[in-house]
Amino acid sequence: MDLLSDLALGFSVALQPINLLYCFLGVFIGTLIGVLPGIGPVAAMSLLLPVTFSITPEAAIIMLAGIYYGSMYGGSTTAILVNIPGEAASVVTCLDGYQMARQGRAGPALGISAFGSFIAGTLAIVGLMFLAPSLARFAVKFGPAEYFSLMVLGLSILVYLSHGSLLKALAMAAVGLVLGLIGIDQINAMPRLTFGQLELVDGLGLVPLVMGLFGVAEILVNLERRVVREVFDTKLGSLLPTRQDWRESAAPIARGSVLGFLLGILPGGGAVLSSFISYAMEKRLARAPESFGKGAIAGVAGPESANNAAAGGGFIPLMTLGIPPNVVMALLLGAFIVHGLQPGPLLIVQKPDLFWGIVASMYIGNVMLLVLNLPLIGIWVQVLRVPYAILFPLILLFCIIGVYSVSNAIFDIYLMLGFGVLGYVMKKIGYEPAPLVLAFVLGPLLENNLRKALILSQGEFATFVTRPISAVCLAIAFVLLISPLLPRLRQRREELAKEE
Amino acid sequence: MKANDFLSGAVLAALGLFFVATGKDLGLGRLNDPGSGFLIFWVGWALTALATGILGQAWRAAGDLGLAAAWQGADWRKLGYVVVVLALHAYAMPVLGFVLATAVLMVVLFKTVEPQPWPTALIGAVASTGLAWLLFVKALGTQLPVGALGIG
Repeated sequence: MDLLSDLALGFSVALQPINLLYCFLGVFIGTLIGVLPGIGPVAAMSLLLPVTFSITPEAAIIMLAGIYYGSMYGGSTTAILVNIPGEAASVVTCLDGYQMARQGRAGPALGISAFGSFIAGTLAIVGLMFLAPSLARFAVKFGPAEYFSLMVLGLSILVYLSHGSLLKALAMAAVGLVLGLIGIDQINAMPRLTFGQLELVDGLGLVPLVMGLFGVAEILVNLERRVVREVFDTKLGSLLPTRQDWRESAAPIARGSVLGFLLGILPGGGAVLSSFISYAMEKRLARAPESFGKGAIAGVAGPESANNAAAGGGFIPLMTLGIPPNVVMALLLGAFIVHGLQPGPLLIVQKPDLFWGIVASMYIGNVMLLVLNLPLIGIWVQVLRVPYAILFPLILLFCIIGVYSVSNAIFDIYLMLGFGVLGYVMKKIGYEPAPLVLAFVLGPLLENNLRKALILSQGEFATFVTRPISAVCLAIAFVLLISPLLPRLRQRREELAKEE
Repeated sequence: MKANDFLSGAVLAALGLFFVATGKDLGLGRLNDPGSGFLIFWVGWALTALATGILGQAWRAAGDLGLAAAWQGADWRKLGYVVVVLALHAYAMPVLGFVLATAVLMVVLFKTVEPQPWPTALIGAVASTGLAWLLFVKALGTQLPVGALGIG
């Protein structure tokens, strides 16, 4: 009964006209940026963060969350119709979705993608609803040592799951940690790594860093290869999947939902990884694996469900522990803090209207996406026809406005450009930006908890291994980080990287 | 990637040592009261060790791709040009104001990076600047530089 009354409270918040409007704006913008290759949810959320300063925290978080799960819906449209993923989580949808479009079955591909996304998104919210309060009650027992170890574990999982060199991913996390410590020391107010620059006293901004590494860098990479988007000229036909389509998709949708939700909760997991693993899993379980890559509807239904479920699952560690499991959630953490809110175990108790309002808005947002997106597919196709030569100056303009409006500082635009060039170089030589960004966000929290734990334990490092939760987290992190030395684990990691 | 890994490993090793020195300067404190430089110092050592590992891997990777392969297709002139144009826009914005500086930026980007016909460039620049101004400044109340001309 408690759950029902909590949910009723949530709907009373989410159904307020202003919150409905921002929910709609969020899912609409999310779908649009999902459709447009070259700008992902991270850049879009950074861009719109300053816009939320003048609205209520509920409306702000509802809109930003809508952008995230909305982009998961939109990403599949370009993958199916153009063979270009709108964002990273839809890469595998290209494999069978585009083949279905070529066979004149673009409609059912788009349809099953939308229905699968809706079902998975809804199941993830149900999971969030049941799991978050219990986890929050458990997390109240956490002290600085547990928080420190949990953050170390989060970073370790992200590093372990990043494709390519483990050493490079770890090095990026180390650089991100120190970048996050630039500015005034929170404990003794000493300026660090500011080089006498007044602009650095408050630390580096998350928005210029993210916009540079993800937005500007992506544009620089796209500019050197001519981006040609040929929208597949086919009749969409009926968007409703046939009975046979449903028979073939039901189990992949169910498996994708569970897998995506669980991977979404894990730090470093998230939508991209879950969609790749779901595709690999469906291929292995299929009676005719040779049909994959040739237009198998299960190859669309599974990954699209998984990435949407992961988007929902990612809210659990953020809202119950205050720890973002991926870069998108790191941005959402920034939004919470900007609005004077601290996500964590006490959020549900102290701000039940906000927590349950967000949960309820996600139900509403998923319905909006289903109702709106199928009829709007024609518009998204037209958007896709805008040439990149016209699109990239507009994206750059939005990046500039987004960065400047957070701090009203020209310095931040220079920072964004600097990180843009750095991000471009990193892409070229095989360094991933995600560990850097997550470590940047976790850096101050991690340091704070490390120092507090040491002060409380009178300088005893044993505090991290004598407290059970902390010890378990550190043990798992240790195993993951030494995995390259263990042949079996190394093989598993390489398999995961190949699946990606 | 061998040459790239050598270069990046060396840069990261230097950065790691710089963090070590900075951490020491800031003060390590005591174990029961860690100082401002404590974490920076130890992360610096970790980064140096990781960079040494990257250098070692690059050393062992015989016959791997070299510097040229990774950078094949890089259009440095175009990339440098876009970055410089954006930096000049940032420099000019406080002086000229958002509207004027951005209109010029958009004309330059439309006309010179992936050249569009003049009418497209001009209409695109005016329309995008105008719409951005209406949306962000007028509708959302975002503060953007007005410049000496007082337009922004």
